[in-house]
Amino acid sequence: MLWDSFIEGIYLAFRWDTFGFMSLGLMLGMFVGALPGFTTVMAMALVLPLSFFMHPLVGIPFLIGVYKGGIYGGSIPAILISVPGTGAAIATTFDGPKLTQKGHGRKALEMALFASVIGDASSDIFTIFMIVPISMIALLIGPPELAAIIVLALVIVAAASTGSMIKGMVMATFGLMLSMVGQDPLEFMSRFTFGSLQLKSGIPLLPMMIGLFAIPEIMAAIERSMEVGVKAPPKDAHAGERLRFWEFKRCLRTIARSTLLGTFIGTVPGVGQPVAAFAGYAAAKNASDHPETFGQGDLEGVAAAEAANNAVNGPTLVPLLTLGIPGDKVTAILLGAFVAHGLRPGPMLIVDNGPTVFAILIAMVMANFLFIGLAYISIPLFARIVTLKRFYLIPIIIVLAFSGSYVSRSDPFDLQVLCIAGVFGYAARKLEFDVAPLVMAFILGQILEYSIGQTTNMASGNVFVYLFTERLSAGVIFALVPVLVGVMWYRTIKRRKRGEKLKSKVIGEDFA
Amino acid sequence: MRKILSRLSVHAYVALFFLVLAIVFYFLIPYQIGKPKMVFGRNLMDMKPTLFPTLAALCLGAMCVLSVINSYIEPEENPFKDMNWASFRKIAGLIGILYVFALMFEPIGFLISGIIIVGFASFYLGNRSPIMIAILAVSVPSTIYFVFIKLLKISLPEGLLY
Repeated sequence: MLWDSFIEGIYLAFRWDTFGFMSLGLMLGMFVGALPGFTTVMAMALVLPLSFFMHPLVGIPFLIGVYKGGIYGGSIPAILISVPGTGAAIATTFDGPKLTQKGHGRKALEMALFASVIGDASSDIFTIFMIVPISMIALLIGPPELAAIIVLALVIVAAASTGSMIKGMVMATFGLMLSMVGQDPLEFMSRFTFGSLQLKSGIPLLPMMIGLFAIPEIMAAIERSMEVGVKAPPKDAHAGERLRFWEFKRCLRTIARSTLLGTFIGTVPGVGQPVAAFAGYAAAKNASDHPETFGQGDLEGVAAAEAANNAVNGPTLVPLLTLGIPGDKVTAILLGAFVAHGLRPGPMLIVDNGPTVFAILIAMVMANFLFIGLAYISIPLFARIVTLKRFYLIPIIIVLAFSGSYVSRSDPFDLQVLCIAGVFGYAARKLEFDVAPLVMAFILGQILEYSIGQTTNMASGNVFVYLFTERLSAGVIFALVPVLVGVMWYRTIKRRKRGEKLKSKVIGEDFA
Repeated sequence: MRKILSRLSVHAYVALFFLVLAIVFYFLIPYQIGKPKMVFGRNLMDMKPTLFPTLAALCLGAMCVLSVINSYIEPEENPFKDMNWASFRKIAGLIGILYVFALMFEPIGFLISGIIIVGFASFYLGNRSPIMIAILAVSVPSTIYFVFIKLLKISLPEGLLY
């Protein structure tokens, strides 16, 4: 049956509008990624409302195209002007700019492209093969296990967030509180609405996401442009010799290693591209016969970082599609898109909507091949937009944010939510609170409450005994959570005492 | 006491703010959550409707207390210490622009309010070319209007144009 769904998915994936909008998404993502300080998450949040009005086989690949384009796009300023366009490209700045200085900017950009595509395509194919067995395992999961996994996922996302772990936990619990505004998921009673009609259906997710992800970017961009201008790349920095086949072949082993690392890291919620890029770079340097050339303009350094960070893209969808648990901001946005199209991520997704899901995954693989052609031709164009002035971009982002927030419910209240969320998001950013755990907890809060409610019903009152006798896996996970929190907090304090706090080179603190 | 207060950073005060929020939320629970539905004298669910909100409030309170303690043990840098106040004023101005746009959006309409806001925002952020401001102000909202209304068939408020 699943094989039939897969075959049907192949037929469904090949639509002209799917490829058309995916190409548009790739170019848009590359455009935003190439702009230092503007993130892929922001771009996805802005175009998310548009995807609601498209067919699921068009809208979701469009968003995925923006995601993929953005991750590669961040490497362009990273290589040309040593400013990573996204957090995923931090490790690319170790060797990329040195290559540009030596007149090999084009080579570096092409190596980044090919490494990105190979890493991404390989991990996407892995994702297709992993979705099925994990979905089968997920079908065995009941409400107690789901509740335990959600709590564990929130703890991991909080621990992996930028800023301290405790701050991540504060944001996560605050997000849980916000999710309770509106209706109780068990008995559908109104709560915390304070008599407001608009709050009866809860705080609207879409304007909140756009406000938290897009508006702070604008404010941070203003702050940065007033402190320091983005320096222009050297003239014709993107020109120069093309990448030779033997240079590419020399890096194949590095690309393969980075792909494996990135794929593994991608399956862990909350960890993300920057960690993968650093891990890939470090592994390549350790395995190299000439580690002293890393950091001095070695193509292998660029290949290692880019293959690893792009290899994360596919596997991050595995916990989302199989369990309905987003692992980061990007998958939180994709969750919104899936739900809007009537595709509820979770164990039953593959069973109920197999052909559509496989079609989306296959389109994701095809996006990589589209991307090679599109990006190869457009590298010179995107190299020029690196220093595009903020006073052109910011008004466009504002209008897109407002129109996108308004269209989902045509309610002016959503615009107020957008503004409040934007101010909150900026304040959180300044105070080093990551909003990702807040958004995650907000999305998962109702599901968590529903699962706990179902668990107490199944336990007929004595939850503790029930968890540790009949649902041992869930009981163990719940018991492990406080231990995990303690261990992570202890390690964070030790690391900070040793002064090993990771200093972010990216301007701004969001990582996507 | 003064020594303790002097070691608390901005981050600690933020954690205290969230602690106050958690306490307020906890005390609002009985007033904002109704009694559970009863069928033949029995509650439909074994879990009380107040349980999950109570747990969330207690968790937030506990995390805030830990955050204050953490901030005391390891004082963090004041993020506003070296702030560029000129950029802060610019950002405050931008927030004002956003709120005005939110107020204008439906009554005046997307197209007209968009033209006003794009033009003003571009000027406010440093664009001094009247021609480029005019081109940007007209083209951006018009393009978005066309894409939304004609291509995607999504309605935007007409406002004064209606």
